[in-house]
Amino acid sequence: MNRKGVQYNSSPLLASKTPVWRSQFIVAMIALGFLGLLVRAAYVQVIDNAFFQHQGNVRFLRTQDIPADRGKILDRNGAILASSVSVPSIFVSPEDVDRTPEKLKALAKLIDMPMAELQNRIKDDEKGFVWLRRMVDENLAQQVMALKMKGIGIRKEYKRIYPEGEAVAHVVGFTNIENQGQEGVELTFENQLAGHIGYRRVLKNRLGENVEDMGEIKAPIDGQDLQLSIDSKIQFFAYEKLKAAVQDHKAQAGSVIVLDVRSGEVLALANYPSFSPNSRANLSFAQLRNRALTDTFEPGSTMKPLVISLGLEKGIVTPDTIIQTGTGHLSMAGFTINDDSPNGAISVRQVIQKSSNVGTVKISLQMPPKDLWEIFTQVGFGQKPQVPFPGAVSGKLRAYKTWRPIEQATMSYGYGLSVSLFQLAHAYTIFARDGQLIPLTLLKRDEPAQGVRVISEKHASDVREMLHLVTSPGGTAPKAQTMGYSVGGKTGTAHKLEGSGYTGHKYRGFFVGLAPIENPRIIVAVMIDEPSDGFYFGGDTAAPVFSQTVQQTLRVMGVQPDMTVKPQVVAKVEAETY
Amino acid sequence: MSRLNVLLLIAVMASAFYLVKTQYDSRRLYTEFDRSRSEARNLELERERLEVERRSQGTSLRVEKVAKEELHMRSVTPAITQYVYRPLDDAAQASQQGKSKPNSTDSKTPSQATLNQQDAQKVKQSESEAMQVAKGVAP
Repeated sequence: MNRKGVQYNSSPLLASKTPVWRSQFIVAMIALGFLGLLVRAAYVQVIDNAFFQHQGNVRFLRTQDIPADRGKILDRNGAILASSVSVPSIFVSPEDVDRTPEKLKALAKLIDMPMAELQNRIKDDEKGFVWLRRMVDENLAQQVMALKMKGIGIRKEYKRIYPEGEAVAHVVGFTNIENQGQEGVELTFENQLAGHIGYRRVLKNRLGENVEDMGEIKAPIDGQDLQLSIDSKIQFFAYEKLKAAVQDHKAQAGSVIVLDVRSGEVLALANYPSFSPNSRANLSFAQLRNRALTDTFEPGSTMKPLVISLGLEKGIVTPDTIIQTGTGHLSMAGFTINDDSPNGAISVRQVIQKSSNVGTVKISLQMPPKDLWEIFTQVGFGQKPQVPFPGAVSGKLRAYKTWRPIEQATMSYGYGLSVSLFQLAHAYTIFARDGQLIPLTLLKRDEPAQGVRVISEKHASDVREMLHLVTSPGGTAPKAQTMGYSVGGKTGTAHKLEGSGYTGHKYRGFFVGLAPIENPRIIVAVMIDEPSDGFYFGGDTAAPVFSQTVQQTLRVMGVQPDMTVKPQVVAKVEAETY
Repeated sequence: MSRLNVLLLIAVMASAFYLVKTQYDSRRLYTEFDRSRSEARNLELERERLEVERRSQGTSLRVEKVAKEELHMRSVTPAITQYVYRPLDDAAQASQQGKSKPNSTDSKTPSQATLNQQDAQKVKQSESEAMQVAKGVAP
C-alpha cells in the first residue's frame, strides 16, 4: 500500500468486501423460520388436527339442556288445575363457600335450617354442589342472594302448582320433586304430560357467553296440555257440600260423583278427607285414597232399581203389580230378610219408593240367576271401569253358577257383591239415558256419548218414575228434593263388613240419583262412610248432599228449572214491555 | 402475469379479513340472540307463574269467601231468580224453521223484525251488565 497514495475519497470500510455467504445465511435463516412455522401449521392443521380440535372443544364447546315444559292440566272451561312454574332453589358449593361464622349464621336463619344441619351439608369441602333448600319463594331467594355470600347460588327448578287445592286433589293427583306423576291424572297421563328436554352444542367464549350454535343433538318436546271433563266450579261445590256432610254426621269419609248424562263426562269426582297437593307433608293413607274409584262396598238398596228394571224387561212384573210384603219378614234357608217397617201389599212402584227388601227378593226369586248376572255384568259390575285412573278397582261379582238361592236373594238388595261408587253411578246411566249404558270419560268430550242398550226406553222411563217417588213425600229420601228441579234417585244403607261378619252399628249411606227426572242431564252419586251422629240412613246422610249438588250443578250448567217455584222476591219486578 | 398475482393476493387477503369480521359479527349477534331468547323464556315462565297466581286468586273457594264475607252476597236459588223469556231463542228457531219453509219468512212484517233486533240488543245489554256484576265479585 502506498502511504502517499492515500485516497481520501474512498473509505476503506466501504471498500471492504462483504462475503456473499453472510447474506445468504441470513436469508436462509429467515426462510428456515418460515419453514418452521409452516411445518408447525401443517402439524396443527393437518397431522395432529384431531388432538387440537379436541382440546379446543374441551375448553369452549359445551352441551346445554334445552328445557321442555310439562303440560298443564285444565278443567273443561280451560281453568288451570295444575301447571308448572319455575321457582328458585338454593344450592351451596362447599369447596368455595364463605365460612365466616356470622354469614353462615345469617344464612341459616334465612333459610330456617339449624346451624348443625348447615355445617353438616358443607362439611365435605371437596364437593362442588349441594342443595340447601329446594323450591323456595322468590322473596327468600332474593334475600339469600342479598347476603352476597361466596359459594351460594340459585338455580331455577320447575314446581307443580295446584290452584284448586284439595277440592280436586284426588283427580289431578300430584308429581314428585323430579316432576314425575305420582298419583291421579298426573300419573295416568304421565307420557302425554311429561316434557322431554333437548340438548344442543354451543361454543362459549371466555366470558361464558354462547357465541355459536353447533346444532341440536336432540330437540326438546314439550308436554301436551290435558283438558279434563271436570268443571272446577261443580267440583268445588260438590266437595264443599260433601265435606260439610261428613263433618256434620261425624262420618269417617265420603265421596261424590257428578256425571253429565249427555256426554258421559265426569263433571266432578271428590272425596273427603282430602289433602292439599301444594304442601304434602304428613299425608296419611286415608287422605290419599280416591274412594270413589278405589273403594268397593256392598251397594245395598241402590241395586233394587236394576233388579226391578230386569223384572219389567222380562215381563215378570209391571209397575202396578201388587207384591205382598206382609209384615216385612221373609224366612229363607234359615235367614230372615227384614224390611224397616211393615208395608203390607204394595205395588212394584212402592217397593222402590219404600225400599222394601222383601218385595225385591220376591221379584228377584222369579228370575233365573243368569239373567240377574247378565244385567249386573252389562252395567259394568265386576269389571274394571274403562276409565284411565290408577287403582280403579273392579269390585266383586261371583259367577252365577255358584249362587245359592239365599245369595241371589241378598244380592237383589245389594249384599253379597261389591262395587265402587263410580261403577254405581255408571250403572245408573241406563235409567238416565233411556236404557242405554254410556261410556264415561275423565277427559273433555264434545260430542254426545254413544250408548249400548241394556233395557228398553219404556222401562227406563218407568224406573225413573219410581225413582222420582223415592224423593216424594212417603219415599225414603224426601231430603233429596231440590228447589225448582225434579229429581229422582235411590237411597242405600248398608251394614259395613268388618272381618268376617257385619258390624251392628257401622253403616254406609248412599244416594244415587238423576235430575231433572223427565229429561235427565246429570247423575249424582253420594256415599257417606260410617256416619255416627245417630243418622245413618242414606236418605238422611247422603240425600242432602245430592240435593245441594244437583241444585248448584244444574244452575252452573244453565238448565232451566222444570218445576214452578214460589218466588221469594220481595220487590216486584216491573213488567217490561218488549 | 405478476400483476395479476398481486391482484389475486390482495383479493385473498381482503376476503380473509372479511371472513374474520363476518365470523366476529355472527358470534356477537348470536350472543345477543341467545340472550334475548333466554330472556323470552324467562318472561314466558314469569307469565306462566302470574297466570297461575291469577287463577289461584280467582278459585271458587276464594270467590265464594269474598262474596259471602266481604260483599255480603248470597247464593242464587230458583226462588229468587226471574227467568226471562228470551226472544232471541225464538228468533233463532224461527230462522231455522224459515230455512225449511222459505215462505214463512215473507209473512214476517218488518216491524216485527226490528222489534226482535231491539230485543236482541236489550238482552245483550243485560248480559253484559250481568258480566260486570260477576266481575265485581272477584276483585
